[in-house]
Amino acid sequence: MKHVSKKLGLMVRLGATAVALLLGQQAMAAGTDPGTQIDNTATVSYSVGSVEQTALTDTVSFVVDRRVDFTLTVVDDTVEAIAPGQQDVWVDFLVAHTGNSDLDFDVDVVQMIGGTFGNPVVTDNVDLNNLEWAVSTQSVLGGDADPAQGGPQFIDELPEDDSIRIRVWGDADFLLNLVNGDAAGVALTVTAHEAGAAGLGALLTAGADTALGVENVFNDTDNDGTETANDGWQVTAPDLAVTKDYAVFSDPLNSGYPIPGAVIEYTVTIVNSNATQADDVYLSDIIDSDVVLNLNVGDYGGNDVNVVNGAATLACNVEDNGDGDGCDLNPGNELLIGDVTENAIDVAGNTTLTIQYRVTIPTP
Amino acid sequence: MKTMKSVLLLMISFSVAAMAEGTVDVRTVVQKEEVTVNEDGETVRKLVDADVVVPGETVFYTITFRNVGTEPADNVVITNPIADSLVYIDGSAFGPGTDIQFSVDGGRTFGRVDALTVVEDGVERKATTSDYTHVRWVMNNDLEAGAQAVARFAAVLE
Repeated sequence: MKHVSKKLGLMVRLGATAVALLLGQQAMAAGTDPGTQIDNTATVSYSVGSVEQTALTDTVSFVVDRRVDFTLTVVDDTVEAIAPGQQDVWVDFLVAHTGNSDLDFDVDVVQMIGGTFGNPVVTDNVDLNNLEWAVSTQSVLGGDADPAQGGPQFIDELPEDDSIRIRVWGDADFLLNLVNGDAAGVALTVTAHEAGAAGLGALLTAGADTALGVENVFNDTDNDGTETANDGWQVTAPDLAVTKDYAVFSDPLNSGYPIPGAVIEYTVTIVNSNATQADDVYLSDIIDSDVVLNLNVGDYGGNDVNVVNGAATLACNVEDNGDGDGCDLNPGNELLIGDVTENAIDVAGNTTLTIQYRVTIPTP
Repeated sequence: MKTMKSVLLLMISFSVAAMAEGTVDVRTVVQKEEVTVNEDGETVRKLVDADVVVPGETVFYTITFRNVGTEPADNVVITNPIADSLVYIDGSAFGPGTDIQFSVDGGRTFGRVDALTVVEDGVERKATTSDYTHVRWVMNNDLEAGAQAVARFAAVLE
């Protein structure tokens, strides 16, 4: 940024010009636009025998060329865990453009055939069904937006110093016979094209070097205007383990035995020891007809049953089967926690669902 | 009165003769640096024509001026504006036998690097290379007939 004066007074006189210069230079923050002609004129003034002569000038020019410079990366290289049967699983890629003019990019996605991806690295050995991809309708600087299925399949007019996301979806709906560790990778390729025209512009190619023409100078990896990145998914089914314990919470004789009048606390622990979330987990527990379920337990915050999913305590009132909390006491003394028609419980990967309730052994 | 007219005519004829004999030829070229590695693994740098230039690259301007007349040229000054899209590279100006000066006000005034200041947001500060609008070389001595001199500077394309 050049300052055109060193005196405040001159700044005022040139105020309009200075503002115009500043605005112009902000517009060129990503680099001088290709096609801009840079002229340089040298002027020689001199005298002969103390007589001032007519000054001489000479001008030389060059034209700024197009720097094609971009990267393609995966948004999160942690391998996405999927469960057999899951549909519309997705991964995101990011194209970051650091050239000096708007660019279009063609996008293509293929199934990997072997090869590795992710961190830690896994090796592709299966394919998903129904691969599709779409580009976000808003660049990152434009506000970003989750790409939507059915959206544009190429990048149109990506400004310099901006980036944009591409999402790839697939279905694991045929993988019901697969085992944990199977991995499905995709290779996404973007290729730089000329911007400006409607739709995908012409493929950019290197041209002849001329001082006053606009050439494409590729500065991406391999200097070819094309980048490829791999990402994908790994089959990781939920791994649930259930245990049920009891303890004598209190008894009339402080004996520690389940004698009449004693309060017994049951604890059911459901541990998901894998990374994939388990959906619609419910507990059906028949309460022996010889005991009575304690209600509105103070230690449970007034709930009838203490339901803790990960770090969250869920409301649980079994006295009203239609209250929407998913906690019911059905005929036959069935305690149902996580009624999927009311309030399904999903147990996230590597978390624990704990269900506690207390019963009293009646006194004869 | 007649004598004065003769003197005046004589002075004019001397001036015309001086202009005719003191012509200076000036040529400017723009180049950029090309870095290659030779067969021995050594880095080789050379200046090539600036046919392909993209933002971030450095261009080198070389101004060659030669006295093609028969009389010495004196008070020789080469003035070169720095284009808006270029930023002068500190210390790159070169010119044997010249005093190198810069302008930060569009060529109205010139000074040496240490003396240049600009006013920004009402506060005067030392000028930086991005403030330079012109560079000029003032020859310390006459450019003798047949003699040639050179001036050079480098700038980065924004």
